[in-house]
Amino acid sequence: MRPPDFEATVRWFQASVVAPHERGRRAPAPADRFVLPSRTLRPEQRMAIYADAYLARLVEALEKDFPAVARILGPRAFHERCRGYLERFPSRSRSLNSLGRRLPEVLSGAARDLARVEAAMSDVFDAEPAEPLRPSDFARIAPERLADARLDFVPAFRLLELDHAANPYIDAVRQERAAVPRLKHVRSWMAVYRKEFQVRRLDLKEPAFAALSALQRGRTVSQAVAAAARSWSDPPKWLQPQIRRWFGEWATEGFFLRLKR
Amino acid sequence: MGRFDRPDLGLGVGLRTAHFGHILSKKPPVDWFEIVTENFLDTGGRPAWVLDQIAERYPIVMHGVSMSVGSPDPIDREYLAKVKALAKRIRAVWVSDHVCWTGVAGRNLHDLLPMPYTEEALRHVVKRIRRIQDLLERPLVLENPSSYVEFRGSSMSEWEFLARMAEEADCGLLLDVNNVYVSSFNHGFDPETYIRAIPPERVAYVHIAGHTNFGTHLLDTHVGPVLDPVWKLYRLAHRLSGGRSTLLEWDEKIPSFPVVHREVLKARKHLEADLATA
Repeated sequence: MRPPDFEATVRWFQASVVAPHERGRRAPAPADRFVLPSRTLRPEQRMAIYADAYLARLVEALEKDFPAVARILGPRAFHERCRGYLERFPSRSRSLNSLGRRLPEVLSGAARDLARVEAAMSDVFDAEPAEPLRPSDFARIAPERLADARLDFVPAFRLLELDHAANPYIDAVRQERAAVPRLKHVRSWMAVYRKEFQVRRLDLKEPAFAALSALQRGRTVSQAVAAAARSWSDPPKWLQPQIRRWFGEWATEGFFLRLKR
Repeated sequence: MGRFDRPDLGLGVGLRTAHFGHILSKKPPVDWFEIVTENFLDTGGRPAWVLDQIAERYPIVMHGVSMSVGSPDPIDREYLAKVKALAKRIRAVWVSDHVCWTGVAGRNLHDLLPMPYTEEALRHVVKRIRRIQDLLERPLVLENPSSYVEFRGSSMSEWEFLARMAEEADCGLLLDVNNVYVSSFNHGFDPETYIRAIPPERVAYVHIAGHTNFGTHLLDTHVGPVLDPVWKLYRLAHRLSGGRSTLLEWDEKIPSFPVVHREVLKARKHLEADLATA
């Protein structure tokens, strides 16, 4: 019998590596048609070395990027979710950096919120560096000009609205504490950003999130302040000083890249 | 000798995240570093910043795991453009990858998958390497991967495939003596025959590493110290080539940097012992 050609061989090989982990896949041809036995292993056992390593390697990579998700699901459920995820979104990238970017799409509830935060952390870790506007830069902008200004954010910045207070849980897992706090089911808001090459997470109040969210959508600073006012429940006179404190903090943390042209 | 015998970089270590802090603060007297190319391609964060600091002080070789030179898929020009730009930025001494494929039909399995050693596969990979070298505008250096299967359809040995590939594609070879040993155990061939068949003038540098014995087969795990049979092959490769830059890979249960550095420095003792007995 004529041996299979090169492309048929590699296509069969790939199908055989992923088939054990993909439920909808038709079984590829038996291994002994393509592969020789060794002194100690049958062809299918030799192929299993590759098939086992494939899933183990990618699940390990996902666990490295999503330790809080892995912790809340437990090893078996995490492994099974990752298997399903890789079946639905197989890697098409040359690097593993972006492997888990769509993991939140196959999760629900608390695990999904944690995955969104951890995916944002990976994004921010790898984002292009940029020199942000500093508080001194803002100080040089006339107040009336600032009110009408629109702001671009640095690439290493993500804004999240969540159904769980994820930060304490993620802190405990990433600091490898023996006990992790219960994940509270409560609406929360967070900025994920990078400062001096460290990924940071800042819990936000709803009005602060509303302001930052408006700025991200290209609204002016005065429109962002109005957005914050709509969810402000304290006495109105406290809003302006609070907004000033927030903008000072955001500028210090390096959220803003430049005034939009 | 050929154009792959220089420069002699000495004894190097694979650059790993766990050692970033030590290398930046202590500036250890290691001869050179090899990076995993893909770890630095799509990131603008701390790894890129650290690499730029290290490249200011040490020679760097780029070692990829996703070029997929053997794949039937179209060549990924965008990926190669990134590789080329990084090589320029850090003044990479060599750009290397593996004689393998990592996926087909757009997928990447993130593994070094084995080639069938046939005339058709050889023609295919030679054509691809030539094209890749044109795009990179520099010679490519390719490593023999460890493997766990042999294809029924193969019509030549791995060493014959590699020797012909290097000559016909006019590329360099990265001789991984640990991989030769692992594959020799798994496939039952004589590793010294393999080493002797590799054209020494094509060898740009040599890899050494640890492996794990699972009884029925060896796995190229890059864990632990280099084992004696691998040092023996290393000495043979060194005798045949007249000496080449050497790089230690350690990727699992990574110890402190001084431990990894001491392991690669053992190469010097092995070569001195070899000279003494010659």
